Amino acid sequence: MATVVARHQAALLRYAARWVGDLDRARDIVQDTFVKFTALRSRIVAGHEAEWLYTVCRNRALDILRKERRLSRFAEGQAERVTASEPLPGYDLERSETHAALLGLIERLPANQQEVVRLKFQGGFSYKEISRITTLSVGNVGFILHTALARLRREFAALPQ
Amino acid sequence: MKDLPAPLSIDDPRLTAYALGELDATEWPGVHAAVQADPALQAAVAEIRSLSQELSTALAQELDSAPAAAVTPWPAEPLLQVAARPQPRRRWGRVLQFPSLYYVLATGAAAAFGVLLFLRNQENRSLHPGSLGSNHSLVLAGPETGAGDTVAPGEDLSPIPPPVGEGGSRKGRERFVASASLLRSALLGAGGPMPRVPTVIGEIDPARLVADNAFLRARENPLSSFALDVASASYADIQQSLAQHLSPAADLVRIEELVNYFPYAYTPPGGDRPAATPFATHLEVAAAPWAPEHRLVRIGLKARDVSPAERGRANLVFLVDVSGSMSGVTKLPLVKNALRQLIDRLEPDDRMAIVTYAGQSGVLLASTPARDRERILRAIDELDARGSSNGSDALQQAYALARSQTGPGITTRVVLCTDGDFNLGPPTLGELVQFVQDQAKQGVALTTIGFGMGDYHDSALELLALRGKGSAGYVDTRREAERWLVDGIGTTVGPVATDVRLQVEFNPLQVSHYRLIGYENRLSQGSESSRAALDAGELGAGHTVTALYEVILVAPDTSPTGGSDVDLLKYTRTDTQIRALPPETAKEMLTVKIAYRDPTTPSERRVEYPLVDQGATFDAASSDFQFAAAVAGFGMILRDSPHRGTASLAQVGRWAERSASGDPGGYRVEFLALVKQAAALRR
Repeated sequence: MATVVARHQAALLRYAARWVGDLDRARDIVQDTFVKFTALRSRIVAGHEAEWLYTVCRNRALDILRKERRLSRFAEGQAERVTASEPLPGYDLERSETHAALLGLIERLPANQQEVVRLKFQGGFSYKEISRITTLSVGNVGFILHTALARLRREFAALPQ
Repeated sequence: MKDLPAPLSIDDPRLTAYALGELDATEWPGVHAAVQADPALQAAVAEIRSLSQELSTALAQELDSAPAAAVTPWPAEPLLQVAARPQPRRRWGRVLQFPSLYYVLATGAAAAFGVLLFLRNQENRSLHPGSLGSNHSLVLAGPETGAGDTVAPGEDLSPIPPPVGEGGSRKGRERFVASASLLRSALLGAGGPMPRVPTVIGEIDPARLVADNAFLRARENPLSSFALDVASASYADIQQSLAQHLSPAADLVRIEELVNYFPYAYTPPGGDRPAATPFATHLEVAAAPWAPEHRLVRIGLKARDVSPAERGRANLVFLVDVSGSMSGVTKLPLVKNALRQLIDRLEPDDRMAIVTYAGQSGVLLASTPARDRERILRAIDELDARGSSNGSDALQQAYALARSQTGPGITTRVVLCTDGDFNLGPPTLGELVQFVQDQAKQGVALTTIGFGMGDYHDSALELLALRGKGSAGYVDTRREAERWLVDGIGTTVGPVATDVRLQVEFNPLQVSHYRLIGYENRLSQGSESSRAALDAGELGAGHTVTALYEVILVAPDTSPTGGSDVDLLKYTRTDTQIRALPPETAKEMLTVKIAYRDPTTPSERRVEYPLVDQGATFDAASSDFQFAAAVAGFGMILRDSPHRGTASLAQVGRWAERSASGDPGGYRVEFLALVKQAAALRR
């Protein structure tokens, strides 16, 4: 139990923070998630704990966003909206430049592509698990990931290096 | 599998799936061969793999060192896209989920506490909330024996530990989803809409990852219950999975939904007396085909149908989205099919009209009496999803048609059929909602039906239905379309029974252990309100409910009361009481107790139905029983349930084949095909 918490805490915190935008609320969400996890532990199918955690976390974050009306009208053409392009402050400058550049590019991905990329390569989930967490079909997950990787490859190659 | 490698484009997403080891086993050989034959593809695969490695490393490092305070939130709006299966041409915002829909319903239902049900021997027993619906007592029933361990008869479980976590009522939360049949009876009825509760479907319910219900010891857990309202999304999920040649994920398989998806020929209640029970209860017990030494109990409820005298004249206007996206097989074709069936269910003076929008917009069929069958059928044939919108008056026209035919004793409805496109005229959702609300006040209600939307909950659809004083529903399958557009539209009567609370009490003299099949989703969603009122359900006209219990009988030579008094709950009878039961009662296997309210009378009523096991074999059971068992067996195999016994897909196919006679709608034949598909995948 403790290991599950330890293993996933950081990643879940970041995942939650991306939804609600601040760390304090993300902490609450992750806390709620772990409380539920403890209560329901024995009934969760073995091997699916991580998937369960992410799903509950996501649901809770969505609930909060809805309550606060942050899920506003979907305006046409915003599907591809991209986050700000400043690099994240506090980055360890000694890290490999490749990785820093990649992370910057990931940040610029549209939200749906970014979520799938993170779930796959940071969360380590399979297509099927991602499908269940995000409610997208497996085919969609594959398509989104393929598109995201192609884009990352293109943009990375185009970086001044 | 092909002999020659088929040409594979670099843009094909399967290439990425292949590179990452995510490609389905059936696709792999073809793709692999194509890649082997083409150096360009091999290079692409290598690039994908190396990029993946870099991404994994980069993201892992991000976790370790970059301060979390630096996290940039995903932009709010596109999340709406992420939250749904991608749908083309979304024009309208997803208004936030309307949480009070849920609370309206919750407060309308009876409180969970203090259910009083009489026992056979007239002993009043106040059922403490904690002893109700103990199927969730996987937690209570002893040490964590692991998912679904079968308890051998006579085996002693260790003393019951205190409940985990939550205080208050420990009754498992049924998965409270207003079924299509409930919604359908409210379609034309008075009263508010009964939407699907968003916290359960739409956002994937992590309760799906929960293991099968285990066998419970009857002596310690004599009471059991199950939800009356069961959705049917699981069947569609499985169909979709198999169609994509993917074995359905075990946790998408909800057996109670599968069993309840199919129509059964339960006899409706007879009797016209005012005091007659508005529903019939059917009990049947025979051997469980996957474990012949176990018994299988089928409990069926059938609510009465609506009499022609009860329903007023119907005045219906179908406002149908004919945008390009509606051409999908779970969309416009389902609408057309259901409308054709509907004509035959309407009375000659009922009226139907069809207005289209978001494509070829306009009045396709003016308000026509149902006796003009041919004219209506021709119009339905012309429904076609053709794409370009020519921005429209469709909404105004639809409502004008509706208003023109309204009158006293006539129920008027506009039924919006769409996959999420609200390009109906008013430029914002808010204005559309206002319009709909004003019209509802003038007697034209709006019901919204989302087609082919999968798990997605469209809060805009639900809001419109709420303000339009109608209902919101979702259709993904032919069966749901039938329930909604055919069964539902024909009635103007609200539920035939409300505040329905059902309980099964097992007799420990006969039953050693029992297991409710399906209904694993009993997790509290955490909030007080979700715990508040999920015990009472409603029965809409013609509604059927089916639940299955697998039962292990007490071995004939075992002392039925085995074990010491210390093991008994304080609410279970003592040995002395058990021994004192009259012999006829002692022979009963279980009693189904139902409390309900008939909307036409003020007081609560109670009925009880005991069941005595006559020892029937599976072959002697009714065809509906055998078919339901086949469906349950199918579900257990897909879930890899430890309780599936000797069931195999081949056997499931045989059981279903034998009981496939009398199959209005052809759903059983469809099921057989599904079983074959699943079997093909497992080879």
